[in-house]
Formats: sequence, structure tokens, C-alpha cells
Amino acid sequence: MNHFIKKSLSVSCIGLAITNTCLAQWTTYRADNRRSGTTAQTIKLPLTKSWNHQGGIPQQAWTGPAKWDTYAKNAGLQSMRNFDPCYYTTIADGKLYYGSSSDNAVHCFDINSGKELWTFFTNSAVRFPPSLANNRAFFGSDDGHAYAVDTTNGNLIWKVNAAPTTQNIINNGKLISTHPVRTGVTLVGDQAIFAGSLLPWEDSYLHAVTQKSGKSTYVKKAHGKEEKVRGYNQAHTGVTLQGAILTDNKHLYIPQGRAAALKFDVKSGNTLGNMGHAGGVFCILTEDSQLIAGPSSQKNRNDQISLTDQKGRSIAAFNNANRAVIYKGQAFMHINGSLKGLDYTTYSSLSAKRADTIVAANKIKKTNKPKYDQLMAEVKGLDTEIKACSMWETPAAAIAELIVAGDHLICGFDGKVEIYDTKSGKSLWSAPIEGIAHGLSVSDGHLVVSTNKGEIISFK
Amino acid sequence: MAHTANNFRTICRISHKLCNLSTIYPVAILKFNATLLPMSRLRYSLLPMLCMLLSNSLSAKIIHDWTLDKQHIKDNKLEEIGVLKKPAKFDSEGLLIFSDGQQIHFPEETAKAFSSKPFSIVAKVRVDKPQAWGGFVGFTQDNGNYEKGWILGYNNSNYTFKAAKGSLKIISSKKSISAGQWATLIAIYDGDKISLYVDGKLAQSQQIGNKIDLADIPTNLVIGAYRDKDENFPLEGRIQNIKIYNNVLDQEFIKKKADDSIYKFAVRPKVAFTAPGEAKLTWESTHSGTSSIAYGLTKKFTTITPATSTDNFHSINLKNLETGKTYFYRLSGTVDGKRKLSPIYEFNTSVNYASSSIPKELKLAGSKSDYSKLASKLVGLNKQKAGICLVVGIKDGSLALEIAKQSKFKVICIEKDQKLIDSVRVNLYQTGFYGSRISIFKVYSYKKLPITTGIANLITSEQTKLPISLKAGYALLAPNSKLVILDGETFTVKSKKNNNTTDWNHQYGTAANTSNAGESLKGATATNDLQVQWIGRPGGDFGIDRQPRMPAPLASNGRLYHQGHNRMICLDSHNGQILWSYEIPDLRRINIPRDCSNWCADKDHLYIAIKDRAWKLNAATGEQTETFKLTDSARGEYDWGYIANSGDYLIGSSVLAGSHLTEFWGSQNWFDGATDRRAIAQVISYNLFAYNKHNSASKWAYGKGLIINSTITIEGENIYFLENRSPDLKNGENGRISDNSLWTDKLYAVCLDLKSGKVKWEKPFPKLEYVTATQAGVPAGYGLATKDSFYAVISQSIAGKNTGYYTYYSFSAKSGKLEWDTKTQWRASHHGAHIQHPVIIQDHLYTDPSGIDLKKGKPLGYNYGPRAACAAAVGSGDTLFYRGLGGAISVWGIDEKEVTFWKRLRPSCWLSYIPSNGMLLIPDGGAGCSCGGWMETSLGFAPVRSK
Repeated sequence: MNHFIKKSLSVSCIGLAITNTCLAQWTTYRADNRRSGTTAQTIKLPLTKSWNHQGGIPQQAWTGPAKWDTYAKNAGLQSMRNFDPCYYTTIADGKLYYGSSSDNAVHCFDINSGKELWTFFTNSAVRFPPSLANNRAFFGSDDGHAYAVDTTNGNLIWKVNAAPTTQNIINNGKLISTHPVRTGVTLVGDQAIFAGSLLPWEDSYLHAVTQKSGKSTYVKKAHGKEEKVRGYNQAHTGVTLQGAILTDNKHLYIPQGRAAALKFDVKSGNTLGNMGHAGGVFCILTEDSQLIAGPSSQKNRNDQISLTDQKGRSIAAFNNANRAVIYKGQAFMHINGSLKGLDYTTYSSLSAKRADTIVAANKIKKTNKPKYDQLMAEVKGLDTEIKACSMWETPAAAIAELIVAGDHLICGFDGKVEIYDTKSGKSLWSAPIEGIAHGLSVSDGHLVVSTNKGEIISFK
Repeated sequence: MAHTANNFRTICRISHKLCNLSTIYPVAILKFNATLLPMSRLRYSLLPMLCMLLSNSLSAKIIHDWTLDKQHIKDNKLEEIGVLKKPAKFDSEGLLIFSDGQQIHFPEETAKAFSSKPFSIVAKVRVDKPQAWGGFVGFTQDNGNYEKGWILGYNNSNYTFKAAKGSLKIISSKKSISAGQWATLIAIYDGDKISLYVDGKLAQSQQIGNKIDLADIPTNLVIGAYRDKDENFPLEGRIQNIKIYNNVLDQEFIKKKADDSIYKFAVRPKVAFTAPGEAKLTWESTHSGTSSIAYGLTKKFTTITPATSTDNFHSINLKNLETGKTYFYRLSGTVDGKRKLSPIYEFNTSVNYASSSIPKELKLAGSKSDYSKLASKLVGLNKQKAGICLVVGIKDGSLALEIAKQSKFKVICIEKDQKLIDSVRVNLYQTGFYGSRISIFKVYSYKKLPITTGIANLITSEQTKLPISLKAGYALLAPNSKLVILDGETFTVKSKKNNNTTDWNHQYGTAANTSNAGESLKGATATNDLQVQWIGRPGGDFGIDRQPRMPAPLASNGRLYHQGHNRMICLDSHNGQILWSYEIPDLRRINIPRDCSNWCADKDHLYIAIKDRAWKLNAATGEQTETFKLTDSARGEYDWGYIANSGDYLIGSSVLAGSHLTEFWGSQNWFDGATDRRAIAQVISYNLFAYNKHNSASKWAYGKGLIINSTITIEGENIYFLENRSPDLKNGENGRISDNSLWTDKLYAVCLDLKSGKVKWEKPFPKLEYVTATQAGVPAGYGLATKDSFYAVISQSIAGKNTGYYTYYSFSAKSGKLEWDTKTQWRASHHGAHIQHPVIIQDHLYTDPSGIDLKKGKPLGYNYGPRAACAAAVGSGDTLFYRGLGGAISVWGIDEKEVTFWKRLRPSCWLSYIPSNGMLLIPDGGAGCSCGGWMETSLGFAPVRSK
């Protein structure tokens, strides 16, 4: 087991299970608002290919990263803004949805037959799948608007301009708003939250509107009482809000791509600071509202996921890993050519203790040698225990995506998708695909794979 | 004595022939000589020794033959006694990888056995990452005053052979190392002299005397490192084979080694992406005849295909290329019946931006109209048939689709009627090309379209009446573009002229090098006077990195040209649409502050210097229409250096082949050190010449001394430069000179007539105040000109101090008279503060932190900015653009003297932002930098419309 946690970890903060609050469906990007990529739903193996759809090659918002930092001799740099390498999907009530950066539309399919039911076009690229609730699909577009459409027929219910103007500029041959919505739409309570943002020298705008009408403020009637619900349209300077918004219903966490993610108050939209070194657009919010994100920057080791606490302090880093999923006290990640399962709760607790012990030992190293030796012996003992936290390890190629569905760890690779048993790491099933499986979703017994070639494949 | 000398020569000739016939030569020669020549006893006693020497030099035998590959390295040992210091790793060709400290140690007896006598080494080597000290094979100690043994290796960019006699004597190659390229080195010690050959050509020789001083402390023979008791500089590269001979190799052998070297093409290939998954490869070769390509996703090529060849020109179309992959390829040809192979090249399909073609037969459902002829006429109105086409007001989308079919336009339909939009979108969606080639943009009103202006290359409508006003239509058009109003089968064309915008067609604006092309940007002096008109590709994956100080982008006649990592791209200046691009392995040139750029443009063409020639490319299509070559005698020995065009003339210069720097890995290739001799070494040209750029007729040539590339300037009908006329420097045959005497000894300011090449005036350059032949240095020197004056700006360091001065010299354009000279102190000695290229705005010349009033010839007395971090500054009408505090691109109004900046927008470490074509164009050059969350994207800013 790699001893890859560098700093002390709080047991109470990390390692608790993350459960999907909406068991039966995959209603938003990566399953839930914490972007956990986990669901208690199960799928029955073996799977067979049910249908597929070719949506055209995704036209990503940003190009790939620099190949290297030649000054620092740092090669293999990773993209920090690849939030749209494929057409991610959401699924509810027997229907599958995706947003297209190629044809500027949201598409709805019958999950069982693969038949396209309706298409809703916007004026520009749609980069995230819609969030689903109450027979509505909520999504944002590069045309600067957030939309709500009726899931039964694709009819527009409302649309809201996220930009201060209606001006459009050219971006790789498409007209886009000066403030494209590249955060998707996140549903919190009665509200739909999204941001229009592009350039750090222009203000960005964080919006909260009512899901029902798209209005910013409305009167809520419940139990004979009336309550004025205020949304907001908050301007923020010097930011580039892009990537799916995460929330624990108290705070919003919004990635910035090539800068650290930002934290906001969900009620007011006020900024509460940045999240340490949590750069990149791969983000997971743990049950304890710690942010796992990466890659953090090009200065550090390229393959790196960092863990940041609620105060924005960087408290740990996982080297040689660029994707992780945490489910019921277990962590799964790909490190150094192996897929690993880890008793995360115990591991994090022991690692925190180890880090504290080393700090204490170093303090007395020169003044109390016997005590130092004793503490270092304890560290050695802890190392043995930490090693025992490894549940399993199996060789695997570099991973593009991983999610958990019940007892199944589902991994997307270049050229295939594979399912492992979460307890043993045993490979249970795999299927070849063309391209890289960047997107995975599970619902209604279907596993849906989205590739960088624009293909969506349903297995059942 | 003469008699004896003649006899000696006779003996040598006869002995030579005898030695070739027999190995028992010493005795045979003795007998022969005794019979022929009555000599003194002294001469008789000398003869045997002489004959031994002669015979030894003519029968070199291999005493070690080391091939460093899988077959010969077992259990981490080479030939059982050479011990590898790291676990052996082999590349795809089976060669040992020298990296991360790998090297091989032999016991000292291995070297001691031959190092006291004449010996020769032949090594086939490849340096992937040059460094200050490097070794291929050596038996040496180099510890302060204790210098012993010998070593064949390299110093920075030159191959070296060192041998100790008193101290280590060093000889080196003139030609620079081309990183990643193979070379055959021959090092010879003949008992008196050391010699070094590179690919069969003598680089240098030096007499050192009899017997090399060998170390008397334990010393290994080391392969793959510059290694001794306290130094260890391992090689990053490969060594295919080392042979050690017990004697001196003869010239015939050496010549054969030259012939065995890899087939040299006169010019390297280029790859154009023609469609998604497809590319066209074209190349010129030194020898005419058939050629073929081997290519694949690894260096074990999976496909071999013959090319279409006409004389020296070859081409091939490649299909079914995977997305996002690096392909390797090698070209072959036949020379004298022998198959020759090129080096291995590569191209990357991640930057294949070619748009997909729509099949001709594709029609919209329910469409009965045939718009093919009309669309053909409309498309034909635009030379490049690419960019953005707006169709304002649709009928059923058929004409719009036809325009997309017959061109590379991205067609955007603008429409108000939702019902019409819904039905046409569905039809277009069913073609499979909706969004990628054609789309519909809904608007609520035609009165004020929510679209930034100046972006369209072609505007038309499917409706009989254009739904927008003519004024609104013109506003949407990019300069030099067309608006077409249909009237049944006929149409009217309205053109938008290109008014008052300028071209940045050379490295520093124009060939006059003022870093200001005269673009007004409508008086913009702050960031809020400019707005983004387009944003997008190319991005971070296009370039090498921000640091190696590459050639600047160019913009001419509405096209933006930008260089990346062995590639270039042409975009529309006004909408960022990619028009065409090339992957060119031999394009790379870096450290431009001490050299000159490798390209320039005019309205209709791009001119690029590639090795020993220049390509002329059609600006609209990228097609190569002409090749300008150096003279036959120069090719192979020289490369094309300076390139510029003025009026009908294409001006070029010759540099020694390999003089231009190309290495980019590591901090030393940031070239920022004020006293780093490698960084500040100037690339020099041996001559200047001119062609008629329309018919490639040769016009004139000039060559007197060594022309400093960074000073060559053209303004009006004058060509100016600084030229060193020291015979010592010229005879040194070095293409890159760090010697201070370049600036201090026999330096002249020269003016030639552009049309005839004749000298108009030449003046001795004033003595530098701070730099002498042995002290301090010149980190950079530039030439620039206005109508009335030629200015030389020389940055001088001060010995022993961490500071220096910019010194300015003004020469009359007409007479060459030195009108004034003055100086300003550096702000800092790092991050480019000491090597700023001057910018002229109105009558001021700016460096860092201040500048000069050109009318008065005196310092301005105030600072701008401040400037910070690397990058050169540029100017427009009233404004300086530079890299300011926080490292972002900053704007300083000359009159307002206030700073504004764009947060997180970083340029390259030299020059990657250009005010021209009515825009501020910033193709990405900053990616790779780890010091901030930079945007890593390309942008075009336009003046805010209300100004």
C-alpha cells in the first residue's frame, strides 16, 4: 500500500460513507450533488449491449494542456479543464438525457429501446447533462442561458440569461455568450443554481432561481404560511467558474479549472474563499464536506488528487492518482498501474495518527533519544497496520472514470469498460468499446458508457 | 636538408605502399632504405622509428568494439566487464537508454592499455538533451589543476574531444549538435595531434605533443558520462556503437564513415491535416527518384507505402488516422542504388483541426431546390473558402447547406422565426452535420443582433431581402469580406474594405523592427477599451512551452500565423477560424533575441526559412508555390538565416548549418542568464542576398564580415546591420559567437541599398563603455529604424556587478553619421529586463524600465509600467503592451501613464501578442508555465465599438 497521505487527517472528517440520496435514479451529473459517482442501485451481470447512439465528436470547450513544463522538467501534464470529454448522461423514469457540445442540444432517449424521444436545441454547446426533478430537465448552455424543459415532450418551460448582456462572440466556430453556462445546473431545495462565466477579467455571475418559474424571488406557500424565497444574481470578480457545481446544501463548491475551486454560501451566493490547492475539474464532496479534487496544478506531481478541508486547507494529497471514488468507508483509486481498494475509514484514522506521531517524534529527536526511538517504533507499528488497510490490489491500465453501483466498481478505460467486485477486486465482467470511456452512469439496471468519440452505449 | 627531405617523402610514399601489402613492414623498409640511400648514422637510426610511425598509422586495428544494445548487454554488463550503473533499459530499437544517470564503467586497465599510444575512436551517438558537460567515452580526471586523460563528449551544443598535456586541450565541432539527431564522431590522437571529425568532416585539430598525461589515481574508462573523481554529468541520449582502434585511421576510412551517415534530405517534410483522420505529407529530397514512407503509432512502423514522386518532390495521403495520437514516420529514398533512410519524425493528430467534408449528394429532406451553382459562385468570392459565413434569414436551409458543402466555411444561420427554426434544425440535424459545419442561431430581433461585429468572411441570405440593414451587414463583415444580396438567380456583392489597419508581417512589427506596426486600435489605451471578439484554439497543446523565446506570430491581410512545437497554423485574424496548418519537423528556432526570426509575410504569401531554403506559401490555402534555395555550394554547409520581404524583394542570409538553437528542455533553455555565454551567443550570418520574390530571380549578394542577425533592419530602401570584420572571428567558422570581440573589435554599422545591395555607408561602431574583449558581456543587441535614423541598442552588463545598461546609438539614415548616443540602466538582470527589444511609439523608444526621447537623444526621465516577468513589449498608436506585475499582459497608455491588465492572461517568454489587422491578437504562447493559473487559450481583442 502506498503511504500517500502526507498530512494529518481528521477521523471525524473523512471516511464516512457516501450514499446516494436518490436511490433509484441517476438524476444529475455523477449521480448526486456531491458528484460522488456512487449509487446503491445494482446491475445484474453479465451485461450485454442493448443499444448505442453516435452523437458526433464532442467539441470540447478547451484544448488539451501543454505537453510539459520544460523549465521545471515536468512532463505528462494533465488537463485541468476537461469537464466535457464525452456526453455524460442522466437517467430518470425510463429516460436517458445528454447535452451535446457538438449539435448544441439536449437529447432524450428511451432507456430501454434507445429511441430518441425529443431534442431541444439551444444556440450553442451544452456541456453537462441536465439535472432532473419533477418532470423537468434543467441545464445550461454556452449561449449564456439556463433552461428548464418539460421531460415529457421537451417543451421549454423557462430560460434565464446568466449574462449581464446578450452579446455573443466566436469560440471555435460557434457563437457563445460572453458568459456561457459551463457549470451545469444544480438543484438545491426549490432552487436551480448555475453560473455564467468565462474570463477572469470580466465579472462572473452566480444565479439562484426557482425551479418552478425561473424567477429569482418568489413566494413559497406551505402549511398555511407564506415565505419569500430569495434567489440571487451575484457578481464575482476574477473568477472562472466551470465544471459541475457541488453542494452539501449549505455551501456551494465551484471548480475553476486552472485555479482552485471556490466556496460560496448557498443561500446568498457570497464567496467564502478558495479551496486551497483544489484545482482541476474532477471534484468529489465527501459526507464531511471535504473536497477531493485534481489535478491541483502543474507545479506538483502531475497525477495528483488533493483533499481540502472546509476551511480550504490542503490536508492531504494522493500521488499518482487522478480519479477516486469513495463509498461506505471504502476508497477505490488507480495508482501506479494498479486498481486498489482500501479501507478508507481505518486507513485515514491510522494515517492521521502516524502523521501526528512523526511530528511529535521530530520535536524531541535531539532532546530525548529514547522517547524518539519509542515513537518511531510506534510509527513502524502503524505502518504495518496501514498496510493491512489495503483490501485488494489488481493490475490495471490508466483509468478514465470509476463509479460504484452497489457492490460493483465500474471502471472506464481506453478501449474497454470493466466491472470489479468492490470487496475482492475480482474482475466480474468487461466489454470492449471504441474510444475512451470517460462517462459512466447506472440506472434502471442499465450501465451507460459515454466515450470521447461521442458514442453512448447502453448495457443491460 | 632538402635532399634529405625529398628522400623522406620518397620513403614515406614507398613505405606507405609497402605497408599496404605486408604486415612485416618494419624490416622490409629498413632493408630497402639501406640499399637506396646513403645516409648518416643518425638518419639510419631515425628511419626505423619513422617507419614504425608510418606503419603504425596505416594499420589501425580494432581493439574494442562495443555495441550498446540488448544483444550485447547481459546481466547489466557490457561484454562482461563493463558494468552498468543502473538497471539496463532499452528503447524500441533495442538500444540502451542513457538517462537518469545511466553509464558504464570499465576497469582502468581497459583504457591504460592503449591511451599512451596513438589511438582512434569511432562513435555513433545521439544527444537528446544537450547540457553544459557531457561525455560519450572517456578516461579522464578534470579536477581543478589536476587534468589528465582524454574524453570524447560535448559542451552544450558542440561535440568535443579533450586530451591532457599539461592541462586538458579541447577541440570542438563548429556545427552545433542537433538534439535527437545521430552523428558519427571520430576522435584521433596520432601521437602528437588530436583531431575531431563529425560525420566524416574535420571539425578541428590541435597539436598537443607526445604522450597524453594519464591519471595516477584510480580512474575508470566511462561510457555515457562526463565522469571523474568529483564530477558526474551523465548523457541523455543513445550510443549505438563505440570502436577503439590502436592506431590512426586513414582518410579513406574517414570518408567512408561520412558516406555511411544517414541520408540527408535537403529539406524536411511537412504534414497538412486535410480532414478528420486524414493528412497529406509532402517533402523535397536531395535526390530525385522514388520514395516511400513507413509510419505507425510506434517507431516499429506498421505501414509502408510508396509516395507519388516527381523528381525531388514527393507526396502521400494518409487516411484512417486515430484522434489524439502521435504518429512516427520515416522516409526512404534510393541513392546510387542504395536505400537511404531519413531520421524518424512525428506528427500529432490532437491538433488536427480540419473540418469534415459534407458529401455532395447530401440534400435536406423535402428540399427540391438546387443551389449548387449559386453556392459555387458565392463561395468563389472568398479566396480561402474558409472562415465564418453568416446566412441572415433562412428559407429552408438548403442554400446554407450547399455553401457548407462546397467550402470549409462554418455556416451560421441567423433567424427569428421560431417555427421555421424548429423545422430546419430538425432537417439539418438529420444530416449529421448540424453543429459541426452548420447551425442556426435564434435571434429575437434583426434590429440589433446580439453578435459581435467584424467576424464574418461572407454574409448572405436565403431570403430575397436581407432582413438586416446594409449598415448592420457591413458591421458584421470582417475587413476585405463580402456581403451578397440575392435577387433570384442573380446577386449583388458589397465589399468591406480594409481601412486603416496594419500588418505585423515581421518579427518586430515590420522589417524596421520598431515593435510597432502602426496599428491604432482606435486609440485604445486601457483594457476596457478592448473587448474579446474571439477566443479558442490553438491552446496549450499546440506549443513547445512558454520559455524558449520563439519567433513571434505574424498577421497580414486578415490572417494570423502562429508557430508551435514543430508546427504552424493560419487563422482568420477576425474570428479565430483555423484556415490551414502544417506539422513541420524542421521549423523550430528559438532564442530569437540572439538570432532572427524564421518567417515573414506579405498580403498574399508567407515565407518560411527551413534549413537551406525558404518556402513561399499561398496565404489563403497554405499551398507551397515556390522554393528559394541557397546556392549549390552553400547547401549542406549553410542554412537560411534571416528572412524578410520589402516591396518586390525577398532578403535572406546564410548561417553555418546548425547555428540556430533548437533545444528547449530545462531551465538553461530559457536563455535568461545575463552572463550565460551560451544564452547570449549571437547567431551570425556570413552574407546577405536578395531575390525577386515574384519570379525568384537572384538580385544581389553581399558578404564582407560577420553580420549580427539580431541587428538586421530594413526601412524604406535601406538595409542596416552591425557587422564584425575581424578576420580571426570569421576564420573561426563558428555560427554562434559568445566572444565579446564580436562587439568590441572591428564592429561596423553598415547600410546597403535594398535594390542593388551596394554599400551606401559604413561606419566604425563606437567603443562600448562597459564591455571589453575579456570583461562583462552583451546579453543582447538590436537594430531598428525609422525613416530618418538607424538605431542600435546594445545591452551591456558590468563586470562584477549585477546590473548593466542599455546603450543607444542613433545613426543618420542618409549619411550614417552618429547623431547621438545615450544610456539607461537596467531595472533588473533577469526575466528579460536586460534584453528587452526596443519599442518605438511616436518619438519615444522604450526598453525597461524607461526609454529615450528620440528627438532629444536623451532618457525620458520617467518609467513606465512597471514591467515584470519575461516577455518583450510591443506598441500600438498610443499604447505599450507588456508583461506587468503579477505576470499578466498589461496595458500602459503613453499619455495617461496608467496601467490596466488582464488577469491570468500570460504571453510567451518572448513575443506572442501583436497589435495588427485592427485587433490585438494573442495566440497562446504561455502554456507550460507553472507560476499561475493561466488561461492557455488564444484570443482576438477588438476596440470597443463605442470608441
